[in-house]
Amino acid sequence: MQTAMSISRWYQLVLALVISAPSIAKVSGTFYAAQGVAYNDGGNFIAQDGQLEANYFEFAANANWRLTPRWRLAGQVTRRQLGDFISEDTAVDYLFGRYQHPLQQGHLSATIGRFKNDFGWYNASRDSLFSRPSILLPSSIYREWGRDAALRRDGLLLNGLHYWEQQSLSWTLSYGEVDFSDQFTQSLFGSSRLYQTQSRGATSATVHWQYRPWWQLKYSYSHTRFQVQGTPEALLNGGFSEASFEVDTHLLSLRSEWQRWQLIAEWQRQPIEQRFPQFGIRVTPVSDGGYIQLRYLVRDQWQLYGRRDLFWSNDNDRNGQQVAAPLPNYSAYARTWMLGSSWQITDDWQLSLEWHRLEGAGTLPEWQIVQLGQAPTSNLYLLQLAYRWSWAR
Amino acid sequence: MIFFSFHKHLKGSIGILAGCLFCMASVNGAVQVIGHNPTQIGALSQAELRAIYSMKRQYWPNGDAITVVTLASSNPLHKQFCQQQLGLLPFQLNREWDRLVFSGTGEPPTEAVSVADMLHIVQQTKGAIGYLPDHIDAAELHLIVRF
Repeated sequence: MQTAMSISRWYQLVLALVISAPSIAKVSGTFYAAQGVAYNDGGNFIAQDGQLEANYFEFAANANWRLTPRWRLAGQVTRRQLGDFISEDTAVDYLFGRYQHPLQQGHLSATIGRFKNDFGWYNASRDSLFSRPSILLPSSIYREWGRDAALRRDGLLLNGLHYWEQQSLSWTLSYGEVDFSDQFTQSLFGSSRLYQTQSRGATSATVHWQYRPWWQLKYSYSHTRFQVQGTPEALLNGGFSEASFEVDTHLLSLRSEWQRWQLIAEWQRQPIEQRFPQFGIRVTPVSDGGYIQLRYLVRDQWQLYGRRDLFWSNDNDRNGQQVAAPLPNYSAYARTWMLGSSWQITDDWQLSLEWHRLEGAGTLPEWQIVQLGQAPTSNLYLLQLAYRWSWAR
Repeated sequence: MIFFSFHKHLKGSIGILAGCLFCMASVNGAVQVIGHNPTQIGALSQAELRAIYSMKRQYWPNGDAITVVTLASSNPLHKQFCQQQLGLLPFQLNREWDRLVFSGTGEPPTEAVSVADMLHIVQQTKGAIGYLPDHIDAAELHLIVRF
C-alpha cells in the first residue's frame, strides 16, 4: 500500500514537471571548433621533428536543458586530433542529470551520470580554447597521456556552494568509474592491442575558497584505481599478464587577479602504486611538478602570457640517473618555458599563438620518447583559430 | 479615453526608445541595475551582484530562479557595467561563463542585442536582472534600482 502511494507521488511529481516544463524550461547549446597548426623543432609531440602539422583540430557540441530552476539535463560530445600524437574518436564527454537545492546563501546539488571531474582550475572545461589559459595546458598537471584517468567519471557527484559578503566556498565529492579509452592504453603501454585497461573506481574531492576576484585557493584530491590485463599475445612478447595501479593525486591551486594582471599557479604530488603480481613487483614512484603563469591584458581583446612549467616523474631521481635503457636520462623530467598571445577577434572568434621551449621529455609517453627525432630539448610552435556558436531558447 | 491612454503609452514608449537609442551611442555616465521585481534587488551589495553575474547565486530569496541578462561582451555599456558595478573586466566574467558552459554545469546569461532589447527581456522575464545607462528614466516601468 505504501509502495503504491509512493509510486503515485512520484507519478504526480513527474507529471507536474512535464506540465510545468514548457513554461519555465530553458534550452541552450554551444558548438565549438578549432583548427591548429604545429611545427616542432627537436621533438615529435603533435608535429614530427622539422615538419608542419595541420591535422590538429578540436570539436565539441553541447546542449543544456534546464527543465525547472532545480532540475537540469546536460550533454556534450567531443572529438580531437593532435597530429599523430592523439586521435580521439567522437566521444560522449558528459551526459548527466542534476538536481540543485537552493540555500539561503548558496546551493547544494547532486549529479548522476557521466560528469566532468572538477580537478584543478581547468580539468572540467579543458577541451575549449575559450575556457583554458593557453592552447596547450601545462603538462605538469594536465598531461595528455594520462587524460582519461582525470577527465570524467560515470557515477555520483555532490556539490555545495556557500557565499557570504566578499567570500565564497565551494566543495565537491564524487565517486565513479573511469572511462578508459584505447588511447589511454596506447599511450601508457604503446599498444591497445596487447593490453586492456579497466577501471576499479575513483574517488575525488575538492575545496575551493575565493575572496573577491583577487584571491582563489583550491585543493583537489583523487584516488583512482585501475587494472591492466595482458592478452596471450602480450605474454608471448614477454609482456605481463596483469597489473594494478592506485594513483593518489594531491593538487594545490592558486589564482590571483589584480586589474589587468592575472597570476595562476598549481602544484601537484602524485604517488602511483604499481603492482605486477606475476613478477612479484610492487613499486610506488612519486611524481611531482607544477607551474606558474602570468597573464596581462594589453587591450580588451588582446592578452599576453608566459609560463614556467616543471615536472619530475620520480622525486627520488630528479636527474634521471636511475632511468633504465632504452629510455634516456632526460625522460625523468620536463622543464618548459612558454610564451603566448591570444586575440579575441570577435566574441565568437579567437586566435592564439604560442612558443614552447621544452627541456626533457618526462611528460611524454615512453613509446614516443624512444622515437627517432626526439632530442633532449625541443621547440614547439602553435597557432590555433577557434570559433564558437551559441544558441538558447 | 482609450485613445488618450494609448496616446500616453505611445508617447512614453517613444521617449524610452529615444533614450535607448541615445544611450547606445553614449555610455560615459553611470550604469543602473534593473530587475523584473525591484523589491528583490533593492538591497543588493556589489558582492551579491558579482555573485549573481558570476552565476554563483542562482536564486532569489523567494526561490525564483535568477535570469541574468547582459549585452555582448564587446558592448561599451557592458564593459562599463562590469567595471563600475562588479569590479571585474569582461574577460573575467566570460571565463566564468565559459567554464560553466563547457563543463555542463550551467548556461550562459541571456544576451540582449540592444539596450531596448535588454529592457524588453527584463520586463517580460520573471526573476530577470539587467542594466541600463543611468540617464534612462526607467522608474515609470518599476524596474529601477540605483546604486
